[in-house]
Amino acid sequence: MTEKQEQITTIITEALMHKHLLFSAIIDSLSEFTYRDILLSWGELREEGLLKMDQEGLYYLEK
Amino acid sequence: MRKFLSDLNDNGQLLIIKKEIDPRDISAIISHAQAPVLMENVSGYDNFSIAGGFFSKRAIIAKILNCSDKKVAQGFNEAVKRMISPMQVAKSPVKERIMKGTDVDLTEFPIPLMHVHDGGPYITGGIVIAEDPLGEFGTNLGMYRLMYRTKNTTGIDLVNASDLRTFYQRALKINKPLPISVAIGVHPALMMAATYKAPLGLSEYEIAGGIQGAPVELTVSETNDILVPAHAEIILEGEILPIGWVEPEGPFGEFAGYQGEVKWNPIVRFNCITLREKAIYYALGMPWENDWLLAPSTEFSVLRALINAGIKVHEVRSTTGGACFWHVIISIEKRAGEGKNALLSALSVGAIKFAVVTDSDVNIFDQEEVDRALIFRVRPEEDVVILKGVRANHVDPTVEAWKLPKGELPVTSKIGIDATIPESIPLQRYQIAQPYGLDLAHIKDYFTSEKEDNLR
Repeated sequence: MTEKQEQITTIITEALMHKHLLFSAIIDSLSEFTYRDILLSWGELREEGLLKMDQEGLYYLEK
Repeated sequence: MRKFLSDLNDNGQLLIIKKEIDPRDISAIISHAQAPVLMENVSGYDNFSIAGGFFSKRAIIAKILNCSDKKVAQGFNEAVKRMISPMQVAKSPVKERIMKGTDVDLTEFPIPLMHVHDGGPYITGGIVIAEDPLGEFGTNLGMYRLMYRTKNTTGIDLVNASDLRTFYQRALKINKPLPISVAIGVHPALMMAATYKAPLGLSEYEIAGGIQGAPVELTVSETNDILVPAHAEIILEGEILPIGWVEPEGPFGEFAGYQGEVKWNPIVRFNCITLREKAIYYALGMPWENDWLLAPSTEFSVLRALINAGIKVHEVRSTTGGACFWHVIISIEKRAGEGKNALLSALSVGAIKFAVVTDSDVNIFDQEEVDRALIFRVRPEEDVVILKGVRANHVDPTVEAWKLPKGELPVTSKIGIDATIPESIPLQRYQIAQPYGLDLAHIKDYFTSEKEDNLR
């Protein structure tokens, strides 16, 4: 994982620890990063099995 | 697909965007364009262009089928009649680049986020190709959405009854994954054929050959035996894991036009990607483009059902309000009682939830004429047919699919309205009233030339 991707992962992790968010809201909050880096970081979080989705389709992290 | 793009461009029907675009804007650009569009410069993706909006108008579909706008069903019917077998070729441009194993990375190309409330980016224009794991029904092609999960996995929507779902269930019974290949960026004829719910065993490749008037050229996948379109832009190879309907997938902006709910679906793991140098990724604009894409197969399926019932069909129109999937309006040359026969035939087509049958003097492409027929040719106590307990689609909110156990199929009811002239009513009662002297007196004769211009 590149430094940029690690930064993205940290930002997403922080956000999803406190809030349930739409995927589009996550993308919107990361406008300074490249789309591809966001998807790669997102995939890493998925692989770690940390991402959860609620009934409304919002993502969160299990504490 | 490249020949089709070239033809569109030659005819002035293709919007080419050369300015750099952010991949976050792909969905918006396709939606705003409402026309075939090619984005040549996508930020961060030097080796890719994006195309979308091929199915933006009924006229484009008619042109692909070489028929008039009002005879799309008949055009598709002719293509099915002249099916042409595919042809295997030794060399294929889709093998110009090959990624295997740990090199597989779906983020190599810009999979767009289509809607605000979607659960992730979606591959919307992929044709999934699979073979019956028990060898009975051969190869099937269909369009299924794939939700990006990781660089080598996606979700796949298999909640509805389909041939791919049947193949997957058969693989599950023997506890094996189902190998698939996914073609992205193919000629629209193949996309049209793939959306047709052909009876199991009927080849969508042959139908596509019939549409384009030439065999579809195929090549064998790298890591399985599935034959794929040799001129596709991108081929993904992988397998649907034998886990059943256990992973959340969606939400997704469904082709009905409403935001769908979270669904339970299997996962696909990809182990190989082959593609062209400078590939063109096709992003099917959802939901409106999907509507027009479905029109030929929906209208054809209804036409076939009516022909099989011995009905003389004049025209068939699926409506965009019904996503060109649930709702059809049909005009027929009626003999006594055939309004109801036609309704029952149309409603026998799996997806059709609402059918209207009227007479051939009604222009079914003019909604005002259809409304007039619905009001003045219908006796509700006699002319409305309702069928209960029939197959439904998860996308329709009224079926309350979210209440179903994981992997279960919904049922619904269907309605048909016989808007043909009742047998007991004389045809003269439907003679259109004509203003007296309409052909002789012209309003322009009563104004100066300046005012005449204003009247134009």
